[in-house]
Amino acid sequence: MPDSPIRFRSVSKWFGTSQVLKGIDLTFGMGHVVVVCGPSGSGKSTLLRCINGLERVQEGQIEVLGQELTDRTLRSSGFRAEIGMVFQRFSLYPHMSVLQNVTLAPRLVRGTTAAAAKERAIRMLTRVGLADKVDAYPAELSGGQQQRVAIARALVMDPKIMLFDEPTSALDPEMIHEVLDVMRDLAASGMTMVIVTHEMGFAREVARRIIFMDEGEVVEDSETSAFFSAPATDRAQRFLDKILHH
Amino acid sequence: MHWEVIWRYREVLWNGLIFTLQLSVLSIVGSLVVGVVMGCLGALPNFFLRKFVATYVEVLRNLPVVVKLFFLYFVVGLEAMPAAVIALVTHQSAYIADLVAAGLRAVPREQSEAAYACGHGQWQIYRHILLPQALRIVAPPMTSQFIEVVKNTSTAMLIGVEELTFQTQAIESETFRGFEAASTVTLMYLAMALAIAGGMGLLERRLRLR
Ligand SMILES: Nc1ncnc2c1ncn2[C@@H]1O[C@H](COP(=O)(O)OP(=O)(O)OP(=O)(O)O)[C@@H](O)[C@H]1O
Ligand SMILES: [Mg+2]
Repeated sequence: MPDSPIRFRSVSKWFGTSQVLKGIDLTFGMGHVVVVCGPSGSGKSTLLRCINGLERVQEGQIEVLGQELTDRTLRSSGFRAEIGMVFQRFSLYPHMSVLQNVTLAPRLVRGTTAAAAKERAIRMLTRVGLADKVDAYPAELSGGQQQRVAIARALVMDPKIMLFDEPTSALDPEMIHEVLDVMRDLAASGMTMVIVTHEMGFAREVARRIIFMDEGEVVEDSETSAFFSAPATDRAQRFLDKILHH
Repeated sequence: MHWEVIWRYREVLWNGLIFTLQLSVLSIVGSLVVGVVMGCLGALPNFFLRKFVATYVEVLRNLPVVVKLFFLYFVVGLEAMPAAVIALVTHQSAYIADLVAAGLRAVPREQSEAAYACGHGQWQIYRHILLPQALRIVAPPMTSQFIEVVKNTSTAMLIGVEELTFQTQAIESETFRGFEAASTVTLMYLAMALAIAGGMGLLERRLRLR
């Protein structure tokens, strides 16, 4: 296992003529939790989506788990399943029960038998506190429960890296903590995590590093305590002021 | 009124009904299959496929069924039944492709992205995630597409297929009992449409999205 599971080398990306990532250089440590923050449109989601190939870049290289991301490596379903991803919302399959949502990939991608997949799925659902919801359908769950199912669905593939794109932004305030609790447990278990979030309290507590982006650039990349006590740039300071006094 | 004419010609009508049903079933199944395949191809992230499907839909929707029928029968030289089925399939599949594409677009993008991240390939994503939802979404308008096929089977009389409308005209010209014959056949078409609507209604209730 390489010591840095994710490495960006001079990565640039354009959507049409507008450049949304500007020469990004980054490395992420094994078992580390990194929080990415920054104003809307700064390129956080794009950065995250580059890690599992949902977005392709025009310049630079991205190395994940020792492999350079290319059409060939990304075509491997086994490789993609090593990188779990949780979205803001709408990602559960509404026509399937919770159990079917969680067992679909083990059965179809890994060829696990139905019984073994079910057993493993129930283990993951128990881990996120939803053992009693296996037969429910997504529409019957609260937003927080849906997000926990989405986490279980990613975890069931036994990923080496977990990506989160604002997993609590679409939730009612009272449901945020139940999702953050699950993520906190996951961090404690040593999972490598990259999290885009505006939950600064959570970031402060769980992240080892904070990456602050603005206009497609990594403006600041600091130890968590350093970032919160004394951000090195004005831009980060202004962002923090705005978000903390909100 | 001379309704006994209908009884006297019951066998003729029955034969016509059989032809109409054959045409309908073959064309509904055919246009559903072609329409779904075309709809899926059109939704793939491939410029040429998208253009190809858009052209298919645009061209075939803008030609009357009868023109397709005459082209296949007189120009291509197909037998009457195959010409009729292919004309009906190409006609309705263009509408169905458009419908299916709209259904696919209605499924939130996050679902296919999550599936991709879990390791599913394009085929699995369509087969297990997108199509089951898209087909449920478009089931109500699909009903009228199927009924449209049944109605359009009557055009096959123009190239000599002895389906219901053909037989109606035959009865009329032999007996001058156009009123009785046309009324009866109207009811038969109505019954077929109701049967389709009822069947699709049942299917929809079974498949309703939770
Ligand atoms: N598919 C796309 N096509 C064109 N432009 C895009 C696309 N996705 C993102 N962009 C643009 O790229 C820029 C960065 O977007 P991105 O979604 O990465 O920002 P973000 O930091 O995640 O913002 P937010 O906090 O609002 O989620 C924005 O200007 C956005 O409008
Ligand atoms: Mg975003």
